[in-house]
Amino acid sequence: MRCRKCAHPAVIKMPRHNISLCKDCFTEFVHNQVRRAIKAHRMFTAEDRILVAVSGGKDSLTLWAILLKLGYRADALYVDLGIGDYSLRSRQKVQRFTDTVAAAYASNLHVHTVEQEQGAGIRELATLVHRPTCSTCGTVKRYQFNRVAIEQDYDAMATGHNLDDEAARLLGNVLHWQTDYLDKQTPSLPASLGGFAKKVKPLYRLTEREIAAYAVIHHIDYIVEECPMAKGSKLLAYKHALNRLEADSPGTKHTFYLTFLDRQAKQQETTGQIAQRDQERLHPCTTCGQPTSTDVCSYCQMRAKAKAHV
Amino acid sequence: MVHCKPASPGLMIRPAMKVIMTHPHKELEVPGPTRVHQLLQRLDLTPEAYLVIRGDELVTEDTVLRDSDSIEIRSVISGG
Repeated sequence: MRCRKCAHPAVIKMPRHNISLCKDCFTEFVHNQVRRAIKAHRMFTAEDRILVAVSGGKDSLTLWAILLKLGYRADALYVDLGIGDYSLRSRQKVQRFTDTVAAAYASNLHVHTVEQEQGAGIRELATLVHRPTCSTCGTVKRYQFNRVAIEQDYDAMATGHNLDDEAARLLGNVLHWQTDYLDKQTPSLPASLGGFAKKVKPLYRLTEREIAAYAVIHHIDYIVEECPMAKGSKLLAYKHALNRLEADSPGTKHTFYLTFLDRQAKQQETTGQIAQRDQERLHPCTTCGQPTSTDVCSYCQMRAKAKAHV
Repeated sequence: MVHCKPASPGLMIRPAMKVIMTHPHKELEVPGPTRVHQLLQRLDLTPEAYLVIRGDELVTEDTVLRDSDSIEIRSVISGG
């Protein structure tokens, strides 16, 4: 199979674009998709400081690598969840990437260790507060990424969410008619009020397969195994279902999510309206000061419950 | 040409390519030659959810895989 652009041997076929590409042309394709995403949603500029949320997985390390290659000022934050060997191995992958790739760009890694602050890893913490592990993990990660972005004065916080993540999440929200969540399912969420960092998803135009292919081609050493806590997750079931549809009808995920964004852009409120609504609804947490719709934010509530038990 | 080696007098064992699958980890031996898309089909795997890697090189669906090849079939799905 030959590259559609230059006739060199192809390394990947992308049925959704009806194209096969060689290493160099595929790399250029990926970079262009990321540039397009950043520009279309005014995510950040070349002068901005960006904090990338890294887990050691393919998406976040690839995002960090691409932003550095494209000339952005990107540092990263790793949250060590304390999930036994899995966390040890993922932290090693992040550290290795920092030392071998990011250091050459004078890019920094911040690390937050859950066990150090909470006195327990994420699994034990979830048991103490009687919540599912993935939900507890989400609360801790969102809180810590936002905290570091605000405290260290970053202009935007970037996550490695890809087209499959967003299409699967959209499918889940539509299946359950969770329209409140639909409103905020956008690749760029503004810093709507003080205490909230701007959140962006520069990989939303790329599939998981394309991102993994980029990682393999560029020798990005990521943790291939899945988080042991994710077993049985609904999001994975939605991803498998969408991939079966994609196999029969290439472009299904792309059309599903990008058409949703087009319709959202036409119908939905502007960034200013999101900010206004957040200002009406949210206020500083009485414990930590981060924005919340209740007196004490969910992170501080969880922390208080855990402290009572530890 | 298919190479065979004698295992015991009178019995011939056909060599096969080594295939490693990641998460969940599995090791298989699959007789070659076969094309990548045929291998995925044989294992009932959706092409959109996997990469096929020979050595450290990505290969496309029309690539012919041979008995001497070491193949990794890597799942690309992640996230909970």
